[in-house]
Amino acid sequence: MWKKSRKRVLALGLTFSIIIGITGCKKEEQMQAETNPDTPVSEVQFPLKEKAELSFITSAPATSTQNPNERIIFKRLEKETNVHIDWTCFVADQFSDKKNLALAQFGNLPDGLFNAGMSDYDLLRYAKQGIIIPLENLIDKYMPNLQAVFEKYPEYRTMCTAPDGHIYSFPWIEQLGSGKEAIQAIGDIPYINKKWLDYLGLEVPTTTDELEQVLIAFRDHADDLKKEFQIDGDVIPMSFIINNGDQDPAILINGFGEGYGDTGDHFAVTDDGEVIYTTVQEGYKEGIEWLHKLVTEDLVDPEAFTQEWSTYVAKGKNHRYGLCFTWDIANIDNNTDYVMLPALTGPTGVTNITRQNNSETSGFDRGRCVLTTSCKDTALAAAWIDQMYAPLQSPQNNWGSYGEKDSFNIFEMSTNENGEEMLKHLDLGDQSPVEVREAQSVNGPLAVLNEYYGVYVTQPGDAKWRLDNMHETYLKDMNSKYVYPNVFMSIEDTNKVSQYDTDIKKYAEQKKADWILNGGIEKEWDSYLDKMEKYGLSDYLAIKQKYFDQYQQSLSEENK
Amino acid sequence: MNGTRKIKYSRTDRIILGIAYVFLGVFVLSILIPLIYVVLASFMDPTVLNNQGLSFHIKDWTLDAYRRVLENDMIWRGFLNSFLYSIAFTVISVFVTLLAAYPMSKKEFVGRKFFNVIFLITMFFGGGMIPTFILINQLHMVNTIWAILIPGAFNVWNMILARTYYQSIPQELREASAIDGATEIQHFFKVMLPVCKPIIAVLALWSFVGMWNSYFDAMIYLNDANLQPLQLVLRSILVQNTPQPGMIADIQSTAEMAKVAEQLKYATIVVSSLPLLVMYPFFQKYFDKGIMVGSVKG
Amino acid sequence: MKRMQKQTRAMGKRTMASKLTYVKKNWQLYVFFLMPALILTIIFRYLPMGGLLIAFEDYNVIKGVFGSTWVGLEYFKRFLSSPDFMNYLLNTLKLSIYGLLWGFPVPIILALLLNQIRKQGIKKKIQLLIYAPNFVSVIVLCGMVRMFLSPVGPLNKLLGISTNWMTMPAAFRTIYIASGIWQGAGWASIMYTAALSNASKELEEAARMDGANLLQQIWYVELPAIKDIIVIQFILQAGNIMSIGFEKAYALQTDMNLPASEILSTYVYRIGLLNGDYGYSTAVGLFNSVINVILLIFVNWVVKKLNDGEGL
Repeated sequence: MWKKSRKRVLALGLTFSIIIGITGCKKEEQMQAETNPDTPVSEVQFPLKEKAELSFITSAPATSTQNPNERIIFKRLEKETNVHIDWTCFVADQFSDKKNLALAQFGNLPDGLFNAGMSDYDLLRYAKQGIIIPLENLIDKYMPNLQAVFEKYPEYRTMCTAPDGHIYSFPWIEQLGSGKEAIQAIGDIPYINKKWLDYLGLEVPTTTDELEQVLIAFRDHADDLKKEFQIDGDVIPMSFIINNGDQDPAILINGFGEGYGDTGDHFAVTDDGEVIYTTVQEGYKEGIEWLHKLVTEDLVDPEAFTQEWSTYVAKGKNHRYGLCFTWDIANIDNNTDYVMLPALTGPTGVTNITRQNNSETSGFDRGRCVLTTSCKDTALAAAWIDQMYAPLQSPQNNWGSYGEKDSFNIFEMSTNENGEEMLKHLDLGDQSPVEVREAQSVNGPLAVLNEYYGVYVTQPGDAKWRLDNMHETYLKDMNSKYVYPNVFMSIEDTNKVSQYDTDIKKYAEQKKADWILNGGIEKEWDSYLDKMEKYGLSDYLAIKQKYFDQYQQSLSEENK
Repeated sequence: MNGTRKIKYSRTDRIILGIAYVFLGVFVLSILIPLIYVVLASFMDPTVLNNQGLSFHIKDWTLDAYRRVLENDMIWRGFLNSFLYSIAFTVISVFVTLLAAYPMSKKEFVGRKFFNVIFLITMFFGGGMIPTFILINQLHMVNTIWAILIPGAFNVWNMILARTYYQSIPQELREASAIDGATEIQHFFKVMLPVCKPIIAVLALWSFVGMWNSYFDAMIYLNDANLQPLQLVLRSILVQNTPQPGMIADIQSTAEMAKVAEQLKYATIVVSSLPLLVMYPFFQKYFDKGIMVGSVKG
Repeated sequence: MKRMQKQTRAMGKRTMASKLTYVKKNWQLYVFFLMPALILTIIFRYLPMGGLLIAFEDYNVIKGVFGSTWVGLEYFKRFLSSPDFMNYLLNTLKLSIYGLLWGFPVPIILALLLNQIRKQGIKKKIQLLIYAPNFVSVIVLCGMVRMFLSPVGPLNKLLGISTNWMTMPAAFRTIYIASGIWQGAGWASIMYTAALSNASKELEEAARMDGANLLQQIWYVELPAIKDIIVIQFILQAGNIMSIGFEKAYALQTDMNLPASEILSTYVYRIGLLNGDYGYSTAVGLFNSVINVILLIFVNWVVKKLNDGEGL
């Protein structure tokens, strides 16, 4: 009896396998997009004669419309090009997970991702799997605007090209200053409440000790401050969002040890060209200890270790902060009550500001926009994307638009000295820049070059304010020679680095938060270093070093 | 033999009973208190709630949160979707299960042991998350409602329950139908089903609740915001802290938004849980019978 | 004697011919009744088993299951030597085992306690109440947990402190298990309550007559009445130790409690669906399933031995 059953089960099993096999093979009919189409350029001139459709995935901030076709920019584009876009829009906070899931649904892919948010690793692995397609042929044939950008700045084309020679994504480029003066040189600027300082008769601190005293003064005079300025809620001497980009307080500890402080990706380059990891330096240890001291003195917001942007902003809008960190203070409170806190001199007299990595080529996001293997009409998609790189279009996509009825406009259409069309930034008043831009801008691939300012668009008021203040406050203290450049590693190295990042970066940041909040760094330091080694820190550094050296070499060869 | 009976308890008995009642009481309270808190908090002014906690002054009470939640499109869409999915799933699932359990309940059914093994294996072993995901993709079911309705429709455990129930029905019924010349199909629909109301109710309830409360399948298979069931909308609000834009669009300042968002969560919980909580007592009488049948066979 | 044997044999073993006759005569049973479930099972349960091959290949979506390169046991070697994997395995086990240890007795105790209540009215009302949390969805439950435990939530206000419990790995397990008991214990007690109400009232009375006190009554009459169910429930739950669900753990995860809250199923989701590492994650999933099966068989065997051959 049992034997007969077993035979039957086996028979069925074989049938199953055959069925699987058939289903497996059926996949050859999978859509493979044409990467070098022979569509003549004339057929993709806008406006098209017949209405066409493309499908894209994009993201939008939670507080703005989730239907991109409601935005004036896309409404105008549709009229101008006669191309209708079928959008799938995910909320920005949840985008990364949803995008990965969407790309895993390989039977149901859109033509492309407009705001792809892809890391190097994403680009390379999706390319390897054939989910996204190479674009260089399309760029050469159908994208004159982007080509013009590359011609002016060939380094961008190099930066977009993967080690295997292909270009897999359309970049986002936003130039605002360059080199040490680039606006991206510092992300997490510390803003100190000058209004409170003046009220308490204090000077802007220049050393770590002075800052500590100032924060203590904020704490001790909390009730006075609250009454004087009618603050809704308790006074918070210092707040931040740990490990959260521009909201992280790392810049405060630049004055400890050798002065490398901590950067967003925790890498720094010594003046001898050696790549180091900031979170294992002695100076970092001392800095963290000092930050913990501030926590024990009740100078730090207890929510600083868990809060999200909206909570952080909510308290700021209630004017409760003495010191906080962000890209632009106007997004948190206002920019009249605060000044940028200059580089703090540490206990041994070191003053330094470590610039953010990749900042020398200022605003550049490699994996901003991609096309998938399901894209039927690649020529059309490329030509449509090229519209985004037009000099008058890019500033709009990036910041906002003009002439929208019943809405707050970022620009008004004006003229430059030659009488040509130029977008003029409107005064933001006391609106927070981030919020008003979110309503109109669409991000995606674009290029705003330094040459555009004064010709196609004026410099945004808040960016100008930030740039000028930054130069005044920090330029003199940017002592390091190098920042880590933007390199595109091979897929094996990217893979390794990605894995290291998951382990090492996660661990470092977890301990950072833990030590600042709870202390204990002295005790755990050695085992921490050991664990970092076990996770592969040396190998990680070696890989980064390899690409740094290559980059330096290619630079010197260019200059020959 | 029901109602209160007079029993003589010894002193130790009374103490033990006392302790028992205390435990029971604690447990019951632990269930009541959070639920009541949620309901009360949903009516409170957010600032008061944040600063002081619950307050019983009428002036601190407001219906604002409910207004926002009930006016929100996504919540209603979520409700509608969940309702449709749950009903559809229940119909499909109960139908397939009841049908399959019938032949399996007959001792003389040829291949019974064989099919039993086939089904039982799936209870303990399977392809797993990834292969299943890939399969659904290959079948082009992604981003359609079928991805959540079909794959889980047949549940072996439910089939076992139904089968056990069928077996408790006397053979004479079938013999009587046979004499009347009824085919299996006729017998099933005309005779069996009316008798099986309890098990149908149990299966239907379980299927409905199961579908209503789940979120994983919808999360990985449904991209379209319009297809999202209620649980995913809730997940956005309650777990990921992202209030629906429509609910707070009228608030200008981010500070206000954050405050109201907290209160919205309580109201959302009440609104979304109320339907099931109100419904289930009506089905309670079926549970006992169904569970008993299931537990006896085990 | 021999004649009886011959008779039983004749009845038990049916010939191929008689079987075919049955099938032909009762074709409705196969085609109409069984077919839908069978098709569903084949497509959605057995086909994916074929997909388990992915655990041994460098799966490429375009090339498919049979076109991708074979890598053998590489993934298994990788995760067995990864300290993180061991951590997730431990998390899974600890969550299940502690959950079982703490959670298993509660429904039983509840049922026993309820059984002592004489007034049927109160008993029914209490039952209705403790069944309620079961109908609260996982999302709502986790939402409530997050709100109650937030730094400005009611629990902290009550205790007068401001701890963010959801960021503490050490607190995760307790939160998970306690909320699980809160939600499920009442509902799980139905089974025992039903069985207890079957328990012979006469036996109880007899025990009382013999002068047994309450504890003795519980020990000698009520517990044995539900012993079988307890055993089966235990086997089922113990055997499922490795397959602890995804939904609740995922909904309770925060960035900071991951060291304790990342379990095998959420890990598979993260590296598989989110990170596109299909082969590796399938391997992890396969490992999980296999261990599960082994555990089930083992637990069943152990319990059978302890319980004189009564098991699944």
